[in-house]
Order: sequence, then structure tokens, then C-alpha cells
Amino acid sequence: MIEATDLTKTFGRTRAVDEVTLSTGPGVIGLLGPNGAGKTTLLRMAATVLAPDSGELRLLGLDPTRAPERVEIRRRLGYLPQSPGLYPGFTPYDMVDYVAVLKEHTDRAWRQQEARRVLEAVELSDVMHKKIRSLSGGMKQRVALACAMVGDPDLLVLDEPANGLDPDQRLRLRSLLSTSATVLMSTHNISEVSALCQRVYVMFDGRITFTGSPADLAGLAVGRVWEDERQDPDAIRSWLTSTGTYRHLGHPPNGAQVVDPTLDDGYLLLARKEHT
Amino acid sequence: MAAWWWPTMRSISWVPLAGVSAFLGVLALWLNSWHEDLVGMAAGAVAAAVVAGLHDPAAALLSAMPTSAAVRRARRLALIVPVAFAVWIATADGPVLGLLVLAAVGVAVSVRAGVPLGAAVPVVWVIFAWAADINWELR
Repeated sequence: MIEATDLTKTFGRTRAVDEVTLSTGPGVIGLLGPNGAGKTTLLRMAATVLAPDSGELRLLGLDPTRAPERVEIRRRLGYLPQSPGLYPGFTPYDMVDYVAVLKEHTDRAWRQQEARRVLEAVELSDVMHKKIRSLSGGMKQRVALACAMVGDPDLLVLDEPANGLDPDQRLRLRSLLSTSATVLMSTHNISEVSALCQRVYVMFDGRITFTGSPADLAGLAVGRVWEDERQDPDAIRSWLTSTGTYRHLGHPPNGAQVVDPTLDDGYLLLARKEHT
Repeated sequence: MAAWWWPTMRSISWVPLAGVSAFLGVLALWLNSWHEDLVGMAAGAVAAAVVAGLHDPAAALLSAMPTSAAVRRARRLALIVPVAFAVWIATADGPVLGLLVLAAVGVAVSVRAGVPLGAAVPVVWVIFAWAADINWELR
């Protein structure tokens, strides 16, 4: 579905994406990394919005640098940007219908049916005829998500789709995405990754530094996490947990109570390694 | 009728053009004749309002559509430009070609540098022409 080889994108002196190579098949693929790691730039390239400076990219078996193939990719692609603007005077129904028009769906009856389907999927049926300006932030995010889902695309590129969603809506999002063909999504929410993604890419400074399953990422911290009553100054990272004990990352001292690592532990360890 | 025209019409921010139209309408009622400098200023304002109509708050969400940004922009212009010309003829009634060139330059700049800068270009140009005492149409 997505094949990228040595993909590079530079803005001025900054290499936002630096020789990234990745290959994904169907399923949900998570992109993790700190702010400024290059996730959004990579997603914009995967959504055909931004052309790479160098490297090779194929989406759905097609070459996005060729105009006719790019149009074909866009017919089969759904994209949710990080800050999706909407028309405040439109209703969710109008917005989705307009997106269907721009996706070249000329059959009005089909568009009506599709607008109702996607708005129902994101649980906005009851407000579909209210003005967008009157909706909450989470509802607006769901309108944008519904727009990305028009036509049941083969590839969904989602930049922080859970932004502004409450826990209940996040759960709904998970079940929605788990039925989609191929999803490439960036997120800061590690629990989202562990619940949804079959594969995870971790980016630091424009480079992919980890590829594997969520279990593989957590596995990086096996034997490197321990809990104690006191803070350990030798630990790489320490934080107080809700149980009142300290959780430590690093090389456990003799006799330490080593615990099973979580995905957060694996990610934090990787982040620490990248910054030293 | 094509499916795009009504949602495109609704997605356009008509406020700048409506504001300029109202102002020029009041001026037209008030003035017996338009001084050439005033015609230039009016042309800058109308051209800027045309460019401002290209502002699309949903541009990021629509950036990966099979209907390209260029086509969406052309559709917007197809709806805005006739209205702007109607306003122009009904009020200042100045040279249409001059207005068209000003708007075209503004649109071209907006494509490269964004709508705010593109909308500023016609205004800056007529102010410059007035300050430098040259004809705004370069006649």
C-alpha cells in the first residue's frame, strides 16, 4: 500500500524527513515521535499533498509524482490533516457532501447515502443539520474524520485523529479504524498505538529509528524497568506512579523489583537513547 | 447545473467584497464624478476583495482531493469575478482591463505566497502609484 525508499524532504536548512524507508501492507500503522520529529511532513507526502525532494514513493501501487496517477491515488485516499479547517456556515452534512463532490461523485443519491453513512459512523447523525460553528471541538474533529472516510478509501492518512476526542469517542474511533483497509496515523497517544496498530514506526529528527509491533517496542525495555519506594538518582527516567511508588527506567540495581515493561517504557527508553 | 457551484458559492467569504461594494456604493451616491486617484484606490480595493475571496479555511482538509486546488480556485474566481465586475461597473465604472490586471497579479501572488499577501498587492500597488504620482494602470 505504501512503499517509500530513502524519502527526503527539506525545509530551508531543516531536514524534516531524512532518508526514510518504509513499507506497509493492510492494517493500522502507527507513527510515533516527539513534536518536530517529521511525522506530519511524512504524512503529507503519504497523502500526496507534499512532493518529496528525493527518494521514491509509491502509494497503492501508483506513483504520486505523475499527475494522472496522483489523481487516481486521491480518488482512493482519505486524508485528515493535523488542523483540519471547516466551513463554519456549513452543516456536517453539507461538508461531507461537498467533499464527495470534490471526490468526483456526481450521483446525488449516492452522495446523500454516503454522507449519512459516514456521519452515522462518527456518531454525528443527530447534529448533521446543525451549523458547524455551533459544534464542539470534538464534534468538528469527527466531521473532519467523516470527510476523510467518504467513499470508503483504500488508504487513510490521519494526522493525530484522536485530537479533541473524549475517551468514549476514542474507543469509537478505534473500532472505526480497525475495520478500515490501510491506515497510517500519527499520534502522541501511546495507548492508541497499543490498542490499534499492528505495526509501529518511531521517528526522531526526521529518521525512522524503530520499526516493529507494539509488543516489540515494549520489549525494548524488558529488564530495564523497576519500581521502588524511593527515587533512584541513577535511573535514566523516574516518575511517581498513582500507587505512590516510583517507576524507574535504566539499569536496575541489584535486588530491584523488575516489572513488565509497557509501550510507554519502550518508547521512553528509545527517546532517551536518541537524545544521548 | 454542476454540483460544485452551490457549495463553492457558500464556501466563499463574501464579506470583503460586500464591504468594498457597500463603501463604493455610498461613494458613488455621494460623488458627482470620480477623480482618477479615487478610481485607482477603488480598483485596488475591488481587486483585493477578489483575492480575499480565495481564502479557503478548509484548504488543508481538501488538499488531497482529486479536484485540485487550482480547479477549486478557478471555480471560486468564476463565481467572484462577475460579481466584482458588476460592482465595479455600477460604482466607479473605471477601466475593466486595469482592474483585471490588478486582480490577476493579486491572484498570482496569492497562489505562491498566500491570500493575505496576494490581497495586499493591489492595494500596495495603487498606493505606490498614487504616492509616486504615476498612473495606476501604467498608461
